[in-house]
Amino acid sequence: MKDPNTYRRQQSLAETQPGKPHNPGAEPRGRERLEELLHDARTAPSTDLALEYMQQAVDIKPNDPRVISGVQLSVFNKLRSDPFVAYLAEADGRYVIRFRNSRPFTVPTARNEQEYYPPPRRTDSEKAMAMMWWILFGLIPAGLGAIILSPFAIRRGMIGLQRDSADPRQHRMAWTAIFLAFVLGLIGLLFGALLLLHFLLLG
Amino acid sequence: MLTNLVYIVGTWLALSLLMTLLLGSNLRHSNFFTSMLYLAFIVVVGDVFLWWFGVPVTEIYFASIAALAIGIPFIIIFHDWNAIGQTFFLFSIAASVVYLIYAFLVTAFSPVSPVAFFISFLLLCLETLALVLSLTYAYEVLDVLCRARWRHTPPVRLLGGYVPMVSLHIPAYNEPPELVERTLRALANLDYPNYEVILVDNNTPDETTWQPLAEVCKELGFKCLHLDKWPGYKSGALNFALAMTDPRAEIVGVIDADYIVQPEWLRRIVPYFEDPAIAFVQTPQDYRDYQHSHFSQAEYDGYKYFFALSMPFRNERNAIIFCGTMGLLRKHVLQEIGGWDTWCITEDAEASLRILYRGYQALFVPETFGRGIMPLDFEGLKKQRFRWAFGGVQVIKKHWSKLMPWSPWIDPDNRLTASQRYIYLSAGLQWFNELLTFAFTSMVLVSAALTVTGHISYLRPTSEAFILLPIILIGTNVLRALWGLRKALNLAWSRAFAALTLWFALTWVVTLACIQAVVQRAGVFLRTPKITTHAAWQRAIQVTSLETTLGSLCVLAGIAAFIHYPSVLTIGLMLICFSQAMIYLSAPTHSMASLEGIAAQRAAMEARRHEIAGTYTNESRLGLQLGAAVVALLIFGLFASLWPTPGKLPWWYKFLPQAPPPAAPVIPTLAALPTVPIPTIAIPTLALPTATAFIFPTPTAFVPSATPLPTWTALPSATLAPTLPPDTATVPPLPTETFTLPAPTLPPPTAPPPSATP
Repeated sequence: MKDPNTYRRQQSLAETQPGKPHNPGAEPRGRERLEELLHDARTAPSTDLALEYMQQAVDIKPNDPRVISGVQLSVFNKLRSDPFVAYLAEADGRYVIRFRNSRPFTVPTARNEQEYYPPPRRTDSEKAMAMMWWILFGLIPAGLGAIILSPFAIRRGMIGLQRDSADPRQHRMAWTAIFLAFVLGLIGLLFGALLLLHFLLLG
Repeated sequence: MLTNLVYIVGTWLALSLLMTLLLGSNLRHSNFFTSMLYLAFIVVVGDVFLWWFGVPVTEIYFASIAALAIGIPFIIIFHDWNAIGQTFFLFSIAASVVYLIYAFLVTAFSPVSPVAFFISFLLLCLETLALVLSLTYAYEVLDVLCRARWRHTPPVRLLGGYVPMVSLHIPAYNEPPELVERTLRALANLDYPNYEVILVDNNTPDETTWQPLAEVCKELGFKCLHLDKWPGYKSGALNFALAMTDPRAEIVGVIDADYIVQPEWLRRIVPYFEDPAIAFVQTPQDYRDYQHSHFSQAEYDGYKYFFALSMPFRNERNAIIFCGTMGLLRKHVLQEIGGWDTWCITEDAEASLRILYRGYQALFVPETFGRGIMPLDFEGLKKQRFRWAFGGVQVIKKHWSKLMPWSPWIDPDNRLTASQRYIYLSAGLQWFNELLTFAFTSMVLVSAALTVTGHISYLRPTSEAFILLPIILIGTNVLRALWGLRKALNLAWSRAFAALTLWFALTWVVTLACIQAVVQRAGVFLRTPKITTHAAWQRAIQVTSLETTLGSLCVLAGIAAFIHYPSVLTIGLMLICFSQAMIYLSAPTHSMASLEGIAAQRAAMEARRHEIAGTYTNESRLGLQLGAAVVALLIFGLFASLWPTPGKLPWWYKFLPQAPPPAAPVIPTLAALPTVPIPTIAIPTLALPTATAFIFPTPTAFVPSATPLPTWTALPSATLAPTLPPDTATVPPLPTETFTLPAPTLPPPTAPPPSATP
């Protein structure tokens, strides 16, 4: 049996939507329809029917405060008898949930998209910057790690300068990474030179 | 000069510490001239003392002039502190800097083998990190206890016409219904006209646990949600509660399910939101039912320390954290930042950083409005601390780039001030203090093992100065922490000591959390075992088995080293081993102490166990890995003993800060050790139990007055060259093995940022 309570891919979310996809060309029509749905939800004889109307309203204008308010009212009316809510998915600023023995419903998340961490992809400048920690760590074994890693960080920073030149933040980050890698590399060289002195002592 | 400077600064630090302990928090007055006068007083008293002990007058004179000159800008910068705090912090920094310079010169220019240099350098890095962290702790304590002027104190505000709607969210997971019912009924009595309560029960498997709560909510007119198979743990549940919050609500509050809130909470706190810049207001987390045992009292004091000391320090710089309970946030700000982060297991502290990043203000009101339940046994405390440490490191992992000094230049949207960046960064890095302690413990164990196996050598040359200042610095850290506890919480010495040792007891679990948080991409949220088949005392020992092992190892290593080779040197090593042992053996001690009065609190304890979801079940595996690392270090040390030693005197040894001792002590080498009697005559009579054991290879070191041992000729390659000029002098045989005497760090504790349980 398929477990319904797992993350689903975004494409499959459409399958869970009771309403049709939003059509921007039909904006005035949609506004009229929204008013109509909100009214129907308010006057619906049962909570299930109110939820059906609100579901269509969410499909038209999910971030409208009246829609959010209406959804909450309908959901809590539904949950008054049984507070069970099961998670199905979350995407496009909506939760896809179901109640006990019900079909899926969508509820607006009512918040901005969060900065995703860990990021799926880092820019070259970010990679160069993240290498700073390794270079710092590389100072501990008599600077050897810093000596080895700083050229790589400088190279990565230079690539970042070329590739991310359109974005001033990335540009500045690349310059910072290059400068830091250079300074830490120099410190590493100093420590490495001290180690070398001790090797020469053996001779 | 540098060696004498070590003595001079050490004396000033000791004197200023003494004055701080006696008067530091009593003086509530700050004035430039008073501060200069006090600084001059400490300097002069110290100088007289130093002069009496024979330190050259010119060096004392120049050092004193320098101290007063540096003191002027220092006093101007820290003008809100009293003179005692200013002077103590000045000499703490000076002593740390002088010690590090001294240690660097000795490490860099001692003619030792490359392997010995390599290991010495590692030790130097650890010392540097430990001293930097120690200064961050000192800054925090002094900033609160020696502050004469507060600039960001919240004024008392009364409820007027501004009565916005407040939505209170109560996350619950597998909580005993009667416990949550008390919380709900207390909320029903809030003296505020416009609020809603949403109980969010997430993933509680047993329906009979949450259904009664739904009935209570219905009775009280509160909203109830049971979230089934919901991702994101507490954050995920709170995010859905945010989606279900009444659109009219302007403020959101989060309360742990075990908190009994006082009726006036909202009435007293909501008026602060009249200022549109205020994004969140935090009040202290406080606890009830802690008087029944010494363990609970120590635990309570440890928690209170954060709200008595760390939060006022942060509040002064608009850098507080949202603690996950007993706090209110502006709803639109929470929506703007995208809600609670489900990746981070201390989502509350993480959200505060994102809010401050946007330039909002936060406020800490130091008045208790609610009390919850603490973990009532050591196991529960360990789990909670694991989660805090893990989450704290996660916050740094995610946001370090926002906290760097150059961050505002790279990212103009970053509106964190320099103080905010410093506070968040240092708070994150302070978690690594325990990891540093473990690293020092490992080095001490390796040193002891090398001594026991007869591989005695001297990794880094030591001297009186090299031993004296670390002793002063370690003593300063411990006494400052005790003083902070005593003064901030108004405790007796015994209770302050108990709280301090409880922090020590958590060293191991914080170490594990730091390592795991660095290497793992996501948080660990495994279930706590609900049933235990062991007797309580067996369980208490079992949960601290690794700490007990580590502490016992330190004790055994210290004793074994002394028995094998009794000398002043090994007495020092034994004492260091014992101090490290004390840190780790605090864990079983407190674990056993937590059994006191536990029967009366069993129900509450079980309740808390349910609440603290999450475990550090990888403890054994990580413990083994760390043990393997120590063994690897030991093997490395043994191999290092095979490395060839330098054959001649280098030109750069002149950079060493201290002249060689007039009579070099002779330490038996490995070959000579079995035949040499107990080398009491080999160790010169020293005023301090130092480890002056390295033979400085200068001609003067080997004048005939250096009394050789009867078995001197038995030493394999002991070449004396008293008359040769330095460039051609032959270095006497350096010991071929290493002997490490690292300065151990007793972790200067801080109460970590509390946050609610998942």
